[in-house]
This record gives sequence, C-alpha cells and structure tokens, in this order.
Amino acid sequence: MYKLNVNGTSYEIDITASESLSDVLRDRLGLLGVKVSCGEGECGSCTVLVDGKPETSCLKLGRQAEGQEITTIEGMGTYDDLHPIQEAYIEEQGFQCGFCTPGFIMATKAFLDSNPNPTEEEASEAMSGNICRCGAHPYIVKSVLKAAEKIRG
Amino acid sequence: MANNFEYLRPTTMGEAVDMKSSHGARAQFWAGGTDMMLQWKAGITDFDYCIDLTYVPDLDQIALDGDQLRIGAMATLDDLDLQSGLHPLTEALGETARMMCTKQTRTLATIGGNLCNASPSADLSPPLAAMGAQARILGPDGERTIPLTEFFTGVRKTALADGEMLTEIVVPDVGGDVAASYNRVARTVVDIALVSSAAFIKLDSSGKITKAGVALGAVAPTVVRVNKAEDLLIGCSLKEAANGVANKAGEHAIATANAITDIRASKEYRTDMTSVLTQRAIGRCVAILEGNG
Amino acid sequence: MGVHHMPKKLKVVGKDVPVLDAREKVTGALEYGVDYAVPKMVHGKILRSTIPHGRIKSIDSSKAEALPGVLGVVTHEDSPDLDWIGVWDNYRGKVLDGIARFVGDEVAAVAATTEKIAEQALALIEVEYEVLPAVLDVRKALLDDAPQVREEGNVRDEYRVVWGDGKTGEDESDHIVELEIQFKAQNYAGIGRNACICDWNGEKVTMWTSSQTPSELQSGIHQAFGIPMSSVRVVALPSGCSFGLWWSNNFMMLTAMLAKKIRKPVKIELTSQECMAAVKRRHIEITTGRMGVSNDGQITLADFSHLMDNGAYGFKTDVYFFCCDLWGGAKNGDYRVRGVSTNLVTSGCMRAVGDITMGLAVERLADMCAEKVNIDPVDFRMKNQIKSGQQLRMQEPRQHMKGTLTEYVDKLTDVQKEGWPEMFHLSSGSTHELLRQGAEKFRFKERWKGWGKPSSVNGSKHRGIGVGTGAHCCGVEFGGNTSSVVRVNHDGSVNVFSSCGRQGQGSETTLSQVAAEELGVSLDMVNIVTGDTDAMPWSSGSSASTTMFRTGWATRAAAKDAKKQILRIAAIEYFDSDDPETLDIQDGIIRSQNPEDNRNVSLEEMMNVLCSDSLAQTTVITGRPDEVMPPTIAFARQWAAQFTEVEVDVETGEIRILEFLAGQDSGTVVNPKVLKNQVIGGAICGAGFALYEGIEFDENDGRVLNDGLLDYKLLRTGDFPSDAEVFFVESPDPVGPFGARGAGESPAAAAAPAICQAVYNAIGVWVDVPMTPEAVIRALNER
Repeated sequence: MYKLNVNGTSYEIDITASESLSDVLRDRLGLLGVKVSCGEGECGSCTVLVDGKPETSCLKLGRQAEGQEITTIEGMGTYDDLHPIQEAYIEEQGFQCGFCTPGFIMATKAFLDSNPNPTEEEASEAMSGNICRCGAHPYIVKSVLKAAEKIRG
Repeated sequence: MANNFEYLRPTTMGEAVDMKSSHGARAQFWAGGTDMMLQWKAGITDFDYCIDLTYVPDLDQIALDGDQLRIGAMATLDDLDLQSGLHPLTEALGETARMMCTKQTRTLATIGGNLCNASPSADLSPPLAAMGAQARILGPDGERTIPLTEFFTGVRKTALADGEMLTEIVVPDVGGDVAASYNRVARTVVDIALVSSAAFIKLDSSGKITKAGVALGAVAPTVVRVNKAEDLLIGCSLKEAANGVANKAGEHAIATANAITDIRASKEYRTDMTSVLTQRAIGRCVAILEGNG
Repeated sequence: MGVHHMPKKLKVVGKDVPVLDAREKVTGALEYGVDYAVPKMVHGKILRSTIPHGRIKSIDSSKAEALPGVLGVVTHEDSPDLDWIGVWDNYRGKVLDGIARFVGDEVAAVAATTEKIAEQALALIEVEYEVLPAVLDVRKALLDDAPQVREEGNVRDEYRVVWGDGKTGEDESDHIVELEIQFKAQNYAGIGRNACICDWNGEKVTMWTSSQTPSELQSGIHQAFGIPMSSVRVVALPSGCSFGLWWSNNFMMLTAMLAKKIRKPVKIELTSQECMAAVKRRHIEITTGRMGVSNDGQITLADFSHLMDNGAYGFKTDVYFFCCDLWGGAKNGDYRVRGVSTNLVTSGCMRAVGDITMGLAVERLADMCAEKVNIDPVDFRMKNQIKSGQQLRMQEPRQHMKGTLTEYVDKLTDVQKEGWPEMFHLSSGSTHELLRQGAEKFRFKERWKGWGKPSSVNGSKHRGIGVGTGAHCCGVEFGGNTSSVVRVNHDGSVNVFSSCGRQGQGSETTLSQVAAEELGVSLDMVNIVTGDTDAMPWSSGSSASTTMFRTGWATRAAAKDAKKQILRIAAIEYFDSDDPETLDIQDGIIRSQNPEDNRNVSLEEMMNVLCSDSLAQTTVITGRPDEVMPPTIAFARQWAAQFTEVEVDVETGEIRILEFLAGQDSGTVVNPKVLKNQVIGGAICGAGFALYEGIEFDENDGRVLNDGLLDYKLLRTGDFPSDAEVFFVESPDPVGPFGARGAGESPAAAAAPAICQAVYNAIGVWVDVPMTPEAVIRALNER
C-alpha cells in the first residue's frame, strides 16, 4: 500500500507499478477534474500541484508521489465557494470547452504563488505549458492577470 | 500498452547500482520518467524492473565546488532554471532549460534523464558539450568520469555499461571570465529543437580567448563539437571573434553537420542553420563578456 | 411570416453573462465522454488496420475470446448489412464491411472486463488480408485506372458556380495572375479525446458520448442497426473542442455492436493517438486558380478549380464555398470543386471547410492582382467584395431530395414568405464596415509601406503588416434542419429543448438568452436541454454555424409561440380581454402594454392556476416553431476582417505574430464574451494553419506520422499576442434571432490570409502554408 496526500486528505492505495499518477487520481480517487488528453506531457490538461510545483501527472508514476502533497482542481474552490483564480477565469471567460481548464487553473496557481504580480508577457509565457485548442489564449492571460489582482487584494 | 513491470525503490546510489547489476538489461532506471513513460507506453522500450531513483538522496544538487560546476543527475530541468543565478554558465543552462518541454514537465524531467535518453535533439547536450562537461558514472566496479561527448555513442545509445548509472555532470574550470549561449530553431514556443548550436568562451586576463567550445544538436546521431571553429576562436579577442571569426566558425559548423531529413526539418535546412545559430551563439557569448548580454 | 420584429430594447440578448456551465468548468466538475460511467459497464477496444487497403480474407478471434475477462469480439461478420449516413451526407456505409481502407481503419472490436484485457485481446486476433492496391495521392486518385477506394468510385460530382463569361473576363483583364497551392490536411487535434458508452437493453439502445450532433447520431444508429428511432436514445455529453470532429463517428457504432452482442453497457475510450490518426481530419486540398484584374482595380476574372481528398470515408460532394460570395464583386467567375477518395484517414468538414483553404488561395491571388495595379489590400477588398443587398454568386445548392431551393420556396404561400429577404441576395453585413473600422483602429493606411515592403527592419528581423478577410454560411438547409421546443412550467420557469452541441461555443447559453428575451423572463429562469434525444426535437445539431442562426431562430419562434399561448389565456383570465396583442411579459410579469392599465399577474401565478385546473389537462405551455424559416443559405453570411503585424527572422525563417486585430460581423451580438472567444479562437485556428499545422502522411502506407502534439504543433499563449483585440460590427439580420447570425468559421478563414500577406510584406516573397521556419527559408532561397 502507498500513502498519498491529496487535497489535504491522506489515502492508502494499492497502486500498481506502472500506474500513472493521473490514473491513480482519476480511477482510484474519482478526481475526474484531473483531465488527461495527450498523455505525453504536451497539453498540460493533467497538471496537478505536487509540493506546490506544477507537474504533468500523466508522466509521473503514482508511486513516485508517495509522501508528497498533491493538489488537484478539486482541492481549489468549490462550486459555491470558488477560488479567486476560478472566479477570474469565469469573469474573463478564459476557456471555451473547459476540458483544459482545470490544468490551466492549476498552472495558474503555481505560477502566481511564485510570481504574484506578473506582467502580461510573463503570464503569457507561463501559460504556454498548457494547450487550449479552442483558442481562448488572450482571455486566459487576462484571467491570470485578473486572478493576480484578486489575490493581491 | 506494454505489460506491467516490477517497481524497485533504492534509497542509496549503491543500492541502485546493485539492483541494476543484478537484473541487467531487464531493469531500467527511472528518473523523472517523462521520456520513459512515453517510451514504455508506446512499447519502444520494455523492461521487467523499474528502478525508481526518486528516493535516492544527494543526486539533485546543483552547486559550485571550487572551479567546478556540479549538477546532480536527478536535478530537474526546473531546478536548473531556478538555479540560473548561480553562475554565468548556469545562466546559459537555465535559459536552455526554459526552452525545454513545459514548466509542468520540467518539474519532473531530470538532467540525467535527458542525457541518458540520448536523443540527438536533446537541448542540454550542446551547451554542456561546448562547456567541456564530464559525466560521472557509478558502476559495480566503482566510479569513472568521461567527457560528455564520449557519453553519447549513438541515437538513444550511451556509454553506460551494464549496472552503471550517471550520477553527476561536472563542468570543470568555470572560474574567470566565461560565457555560454545556446541557440536553436523551433516551431511554437514549446518544441523539440529542429537544429541547435551552443558556444562557450573563456577569456584569459589579457582578454584573449583561451578556451572555446562549439557544439551542434540535431544534426548528427549525437551532439558534435566543431573543433575547427573552436581552434579558430582560441587566441582571438572578443572583437575578432565577433567580426569574421564567427562567420568562419559558422562555415565549419556546416562542414561538421551530418544531418538527416525527418518530419521536423530537412537535412538541408538543418545544415544551413548550423551556421546562423553558431554565429549567434558566439555573438551572444561575446556580448555577455563585453557586458552587453 | 418567418421574420420576427426587432424590439427596441434588449434585456438579455447582448448581455455579457458568463456561460451557464462556467462554474462546472472551472471546478473540473463538468463530465465529458471520457469521464462518464454507468453501472455494470465494461470496456472495449478497437482493432485497427495495419495496411492502407485490403480485404479481410479471414479473421480468427478464438484466441482473444479465450482470454479470461474477454466478453465478446465483433467483426464485419457481426455487422448489420445496412448503410448509415453521417452529417452532411457522409456515406459511411456499413459499420464494418470486411475491407480496410486506411491504416488505422476499424477492423474488429473487443469487449472485456478491463481496458487492459481488451487491449491484450486485440493482439490475439489474427487477421489475414488480401492486400489491395492503395491510392495515397490526391491527384492519382482522380485517374481512371486508380485503385478505387469505394464502391461508388473515387470521384464525386463536381459543383460549379459560374457567373459572367470567362472569355470576356480574360479580354477585360489587364493582368492575369495564376497559382497552384496544395494545402496540407489540418488535424482537429482536439484537447479532450472522446469516449462512447452504449447500453443495448432489450430493444432500447442508449448511448452516451460527446457529440455536436446528438440527433444525427440517433439517426445513424437507427440506420446502421435498422431499429426505430423511438428505440434509440442518445445522451450527448459536452465535448472538448471539436471543430466538426465529434459528430457521429463510426467508433460509436462499434460500441453499439459490442453492446448488442454482449448485452452489457460497453465503453470505448479513444486514445489521443486514435483521435489524431484514425477518426477524421481536414481534407488535403489543391487549388488551381487564375485571377484577372483591370488597371482600375476591378477583378475581371476569377477562375478556380479546387480538389479535396475525402480520405477513406469522407463523401464531400455538393460543396460550395463562400469565398465565391465574398469576392462577389468579380465581374466573371467560375469556381469548380470536386471531392475524391483516397486510402488515407477519413476527412471531414473542419471549421471553415473550404473557406480556410480555397478562400486563402482566392485572397492570395487577389493580393497579387492588387499589387499588379498598386492598390492597397484594404481598398482592393472594398472594391471587389460583395456588399449588403447585392446578388450572391451562389445560386442553387445542387439537387437534393426536395428539389431546388427555388422550387421549394415557390411552393410556399405569400403569407408564409411575407417579409423574407430576396432570394440569393445578401441580407445583411459585409466586410466593408469591418475593413473601414479595422483599418482605422489598426492605423493601416499610415503603416502601409506598399506591397512586399516591410514596415520595419532590425537586423535579420523584418516586420510586415497584413489584412485578410473571411466568410462562411449561417447554416444550410436540407441537411441542416433544426427545431426547438420551449416549455413553460407551472412555476414560471422555462425549459428549452434543443439538439445541439456543447463543444465550448456557448450555444446553450446564447440559445437560453434568446428564449429568455423572447419570453420576457430572466435568464436564471431558463434551463436548456441540449443532449438528450428522448427530450428534444430532431435537429442536425451544431455544424456550419447552424446553431445561433437557425436553431436560435427556431428557439425564438418556439418561445414566441409559447408566449402567444400564455398571453391568450392571460387576456381572458386576468385582463377581461380577447386581445392578447395588448399584453406583454416583462421580467416574468404579464402586463398590459397600455401604461394606464396597472393590472398584472406573474407568469408563475398564471401557470400555477392553469396547472391546477384538473379539467383543462394543460399542465405546461409548450411552444414550437409554427412558421417557415427562410432558406438562410440563400441570403445570410458571416464576415470577418483581420489585421496583423508579424516579424520574420530572415536568417532562420521563424515567424512571430506581434499584433492582431479581429473584426467580426455576425449581426447582433447575443453574448459578447462568447462571441469574442469564437472570433479569437477562430483566428488562432487559422493562425495555426498558416504557421505550423499540417498532417504528415507516410509516403508508403499513408499512416499519420505526427499523431501526437509533440510533432503536431498547436499555438500556445506565448505564440499569439495576448493583447489581441476583437471589434464587432453589428449589422442586424432581418431573419436571425434578434438580428444575430453565425460566427465560428469566418474568423478562421480570415486569419491565414492576413498572416500570409503580412509575411509577404515583411520579406517580399509569398510562402505557402504552413509557413514553417524551413518553408520561409526555402521561399527566400527560391526568390
């Protein structure tokens, strides 16, 4: 059994050797907000925070996450009590289909934690680890800047 | 998807090497896993034992040790980025790291993994090769150190013998006035290098170049150094390097390239670009050393 | 009577409300096909062909079936002997027919207790093929002796649009320019993949999958399995971005075959690689064209021949592209389009089909003409592009079941046609106001340095500006039929039932806004059902910009009908009147339109009373469209004009987009946030097509080589200016709901020509798309 800390809760899970972290989070813990699309670390949809750093969970072994603090989109705000980043994405409509959105929001969280007052260019570069095929690019960057503003208060 | 494998978790380097020795070719070191996961899922590589190096301590340090720059094999690309400010050469390596994959994959992918994957287009190989980096290798018979250029023996092939692991990259002689620059052509902001070139320059106290490195990526099965360009640079002033010598160095780069055509780019384009990129890399080194970097 | 009046003041339409599922999206709670599960579900996997063309001589699944955990295998021998037809008359044929037509084509499928076992079982199925010659080249597929991909033959009928006279056009031309462009196939490359779950329970079939076209999928299952539509329930789930990829796909039929065979719910989840190499893609297209111009800048001749490969199962025929209308000011025109089958993965309509390719070729030739006569690209477009009210160049879509549009319309009564726009004349909007306003905002005239002249040069970095235009339809009749039902419940809340997609375009929100506006209720009282075919009237779904214009019209008509019924009852019951026309609903309150009359009743109260009347047996008010909508293909278009500045590194060929301004005329803007996203999303799709996107096929067997995002490059935030701006020109449409029209395609079509022109101006040579660094250097070297 492997012990995983996810969104503040500790779990004992019988993770198979080759199981990716994204599979563990989706299939074992039902955290379906962890989206998997390309499966090759390009699209960033599966981004989660591991000890505060953004990681593509499709490329990491579940067992490699033992002892680390994992945060998924489910660990951000809730439907009735959104995180400021989530509010900002709604206000700027930094999404269309929404499939990539949890990954973008997790990447935004990690980015703003390290750079709370970014420039537009920095935000644009930082969000390049995720792909939005719908093409909400400028509105994603605006969401990040607005989220930064909200968090700074 | 391939079959399952057995997961092994060493907690010391010695244990890791022992595990590899005892399982031989059926075992595979697993560092960040970003390349391994893809290759395993695609069935390109197959193994029965995965030796996860995540829990081996002391392999992820990036530090200056006297006039050596030491980079642990398990340091991530993100670590390299975050350590940019350490030294002029980590500045160049950090800039290189930021060109690689995505932020959320750089936090997983390790320097050792990137080098052991031995992809011809690996971004770290040209700058490290140009700097004259060495690979420290630990095996059942102890430790050995070889030049990084000898570490790569072919496409996805390294000099690692059975049971051996890459533990550290050491860049010697980094004191004094040094600069490095890595330049590449890519498509979108996140891409594999279509072709790349790196330069390294060290000045003596009189302002002459005493040491130079020029290395090309994605134009041969392994990273290649352009010795003739390096010879040209040695002894030059920065002014000479920037005016004329860089141009000639570019011509030598073209002559050294042995590129192929694939879906990313043609042989001709890759070859032509080695000149432009080499000139730019040298130009950038000069600018840094002149204080305009 | 298909034309609704335009109220003076809009309350819900035009409001920047967040999309209805915004909270679900940002919390990760929205379930897509891949997330969905049902009890007792098992897993399926598809065996795919390893050869481009072959007949299956034998297929032995006994070893697979013997693997513990395997529940069943289906092959062509299990396939019903029935053809099914997808959206836009794509004749798929049988679900499986024993012939593999491309590498990756479906050959068999396995159901097992786990996905992993299903996958292991695939390797145990032994297939012996009789290898057939394959045709992988578009031009070769046209030849008489080419291997035939389909029983119907390779070559589809040509569609032709002609006006004026070609010979006269040549004579009138002072200059004639020519070109041939071969466009690589763009990949939909959707983020999100897809999965399908099917449960075949007794005679009732239920399918859950991400689809833009739930009703078309229901029809497909009905056709493929020969069962009544009443037995088929499709529950379409939201999809990741689709662009036409997830309509009704054959892997869904395979899921149904497995479910039927094993009588358990089966889920097939596609891998990213399957999505990118084995479902659909844009056509490879080849445009050959000539354009003539007189010295005064008038296009005198537009002569185009366009060829598109359908891949294995695409059936693009009867095609018509709207660039012909866009450049309708040309005096003489002849546009010919053909589709041809190849042994490559199926192609289908992807966002702005034809207008992103042939449209780009037309824009290129127009630019070359403009340079010949030294007129800037803005003025040249204004001089030669169609204006509102002018005759469209398109005349009749080709034959269809109901005869020609004209024949159909002629049969209608004058009352039915009252107020209709003139057939085959542009009802509203054009590029002109977009170009005028855009040029001003972009300071185009000040910045314009002349054709092929950079706006600035800094070392190896050359900058150039460019403008491009695009057009597309707003839904198409006969194949694009649609409807909507509006139900008012006894608490005064409203359900809209409308079969359309949820691929991020925001239709569920904009349709709800339309219903709320027409009914006079607030948006939060409206709940829309878009995916469940048991609840909704049949509709062709979200494709070809049908949803806002035509389904929106139907939704407004249904709401209008519901309102009429409500006011009729209210007049008698609450206002002692027999004239419902004197009443109106505002904010859920029924009032007299006479300001002196203070009587009012809430919709909730009236509906409650109505529902409580057990003798009336009217518990809800159900509205449906009871008018004839004019044939929109005959008058409505969407317009885009975009301006950009790019920087080209002439030593490496790398291009950066520095500035982007997108003008859009989609009529009345129903939701600015939604429309802005559509416009910029389209522009980025077009920019990707211009710069990097293109499928590489293996020359020997036609397999897709770049079937992942590592080598199929999509633009990221850092690749597109974050300060890109959108502006709207709102030429209200006389027919569209509250004056709205379509939107999704024209911005994609405008972006590529704008970027290409900017690159030309920066470096002085035209570069064919995708303008990869290498393509730029090659073009510079060939100069």
